[in-house]
Amino acid sequence: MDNREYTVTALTENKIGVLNRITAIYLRHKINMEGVRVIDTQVPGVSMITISSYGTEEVMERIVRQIRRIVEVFDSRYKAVESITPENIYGEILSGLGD
Amino acid sequence: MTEKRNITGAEALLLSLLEEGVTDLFGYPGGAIIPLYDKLYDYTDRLNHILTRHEQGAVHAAQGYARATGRVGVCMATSGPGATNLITGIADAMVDSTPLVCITAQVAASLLGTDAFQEADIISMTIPVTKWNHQVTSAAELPETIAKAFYIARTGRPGPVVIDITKNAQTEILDSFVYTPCTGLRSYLPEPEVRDEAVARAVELIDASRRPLMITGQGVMLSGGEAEAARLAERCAIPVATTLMGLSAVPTSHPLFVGRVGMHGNVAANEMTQQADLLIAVGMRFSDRVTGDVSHYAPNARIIHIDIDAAEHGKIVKPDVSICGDARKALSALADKAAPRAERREWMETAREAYERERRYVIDGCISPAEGDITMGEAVDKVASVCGGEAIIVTDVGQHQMFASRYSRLNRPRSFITSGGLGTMGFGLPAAIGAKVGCPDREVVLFVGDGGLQMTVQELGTVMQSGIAVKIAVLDNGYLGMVRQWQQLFFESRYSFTSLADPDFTILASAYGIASRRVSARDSLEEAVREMLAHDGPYLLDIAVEREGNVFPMVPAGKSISNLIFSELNDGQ
Repeated sequence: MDNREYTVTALTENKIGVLNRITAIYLRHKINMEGVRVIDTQVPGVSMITISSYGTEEVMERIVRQIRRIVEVFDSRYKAVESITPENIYGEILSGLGD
Repeated sequence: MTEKRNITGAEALLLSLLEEGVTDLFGYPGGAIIPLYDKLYDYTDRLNHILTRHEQGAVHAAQGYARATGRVGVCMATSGPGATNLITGIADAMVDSTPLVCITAQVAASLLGTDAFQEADIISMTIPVTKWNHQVTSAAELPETIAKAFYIARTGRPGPVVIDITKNAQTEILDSFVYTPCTGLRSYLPEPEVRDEAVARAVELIDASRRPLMITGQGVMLSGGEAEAARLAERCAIPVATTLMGLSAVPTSHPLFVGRVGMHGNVAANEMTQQADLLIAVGMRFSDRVTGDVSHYAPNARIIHIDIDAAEHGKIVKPDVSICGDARKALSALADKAAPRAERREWMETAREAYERERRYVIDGCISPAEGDITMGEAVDKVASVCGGEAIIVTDVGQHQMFASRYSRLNRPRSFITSGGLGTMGFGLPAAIGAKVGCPDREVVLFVGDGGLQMTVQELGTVMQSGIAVKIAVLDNGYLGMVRQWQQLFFESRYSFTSLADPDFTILASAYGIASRRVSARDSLEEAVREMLAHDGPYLLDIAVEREGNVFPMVPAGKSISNLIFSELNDGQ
């Protein structure tokens, strides 16, 4: 399968160690991260982590499933989207959490 | 909810364990954990602490305890080397889905990151091998953290949790102790709902299938779904195979049981996988030891995969129907809805024919040889016939493990305790100790090789001090037998560093006050096994077995499971 650039996002509790758990999954798959960003969302205590890397779709799928297993992760997706903001990827979850 | 005032963090931790129903724990003291052990001294009437001889022994014992009882296993160790010594067992528990709470001590919070004496960053080190871990730096965090730890360890796909507690958190005074069990976390959905639509599609496949095969993994037992698995199998006349970890989910004497799948599994289970038009894979993860070359795995079969862990669905094989959820509930729904079927005579005839072939080419020569030294299979079969399927069988890793898995008789669930995914030599003796502590009224028989025994042999001291009546059957061939087998078959018999000069294990057992005997003659074997099992207390039976015996059948690594080898010379044709 072709290697191409993917962006993985994860909606997480803003807790110590979550980013390490996610990056450990990349390390295990021997995938180099080209960019990592953590930003707040509109819900206090909830962050979105964005990681860009090269890889195959099969591996991205596996990485995302393993990220979802992390206790502090609400959800994780890898589909590339035009504009990466917490609202347009996780809008539904965030509006539920805001209640 | 219990309230108590002005107690130390150490006492709050012990009270939290009691709130979680903990009665037994395994551990080893050291500098940073002294405050906790000091308080434990006041709680020995309520908490049975087993002192092991090494922290690895403590974690494997907690694993054996958890696997035998279904409860969360608890172990504790000091900071630094105490904590790092747990890691092998934690990794083993992670891959074999064993619920553990591992408590490690840590240097005082003020010293974190300074390379203080016995400081090790156990949180970073255990990230890849824990379901969750957390460092506690103040007493106030302890009750809530322990509640979360137990909740996470036992729910969903179970797994190990590490709680690292700094020394100051153990000694600080907590104004008021209130314990509230954890019932949920907003980011964590441990048990996805079994979807009706997926069940309906699975029922269609089951109803249409002519040659279905159910493969039960450990998830059947983790969910308490043994009876539902049998109900579905019996209702629809579906033969049942198990994985190594799934052994004892269905009694080995069940008329629909066709054996174990995988590298050293049974001919029927493997061949029927290849011939089946439908696999119902329950609580198993299609390990490479199960599938062999995955591109040639189950070529004729639709696949229904039932697993609580969403990450397992599609990881190795693409299922036709994924049922993500609790195995017991999924099996129950299928057993309610699938159309009843009378027997499948022709399909079960395949199983009988395959068993007959396996018996002729492998089993007879293995368990009832006419001459030569005692074989491992013979020793396992002898124990099985004397125990009558009622014992908990614990194994270490290697050839003896495969023989134990092939020839043990298992009537009750949670009766086969082994290191499956990680393949940890040294697991056996401490895991047997844990199983016996958890199930004192059941016979616990350990099969262990002479190599694996020596990896954690110091736990004979634990057996002695705590009077744990485990029966230790050493299948002693003076080799690291499984590696030697591979060297013989695939590396031109170049036995590079696999031969062991062993001590006299009976003298070693005697040094620990453990009754023992060595047996090497076939006509004394049964009597020796009976003596071991009749003995009131721990016993070590050193069984001198054939030095260069091999485990067959075998699927060579990376080959299709259609390529079963029956002997050193023959390729199964």
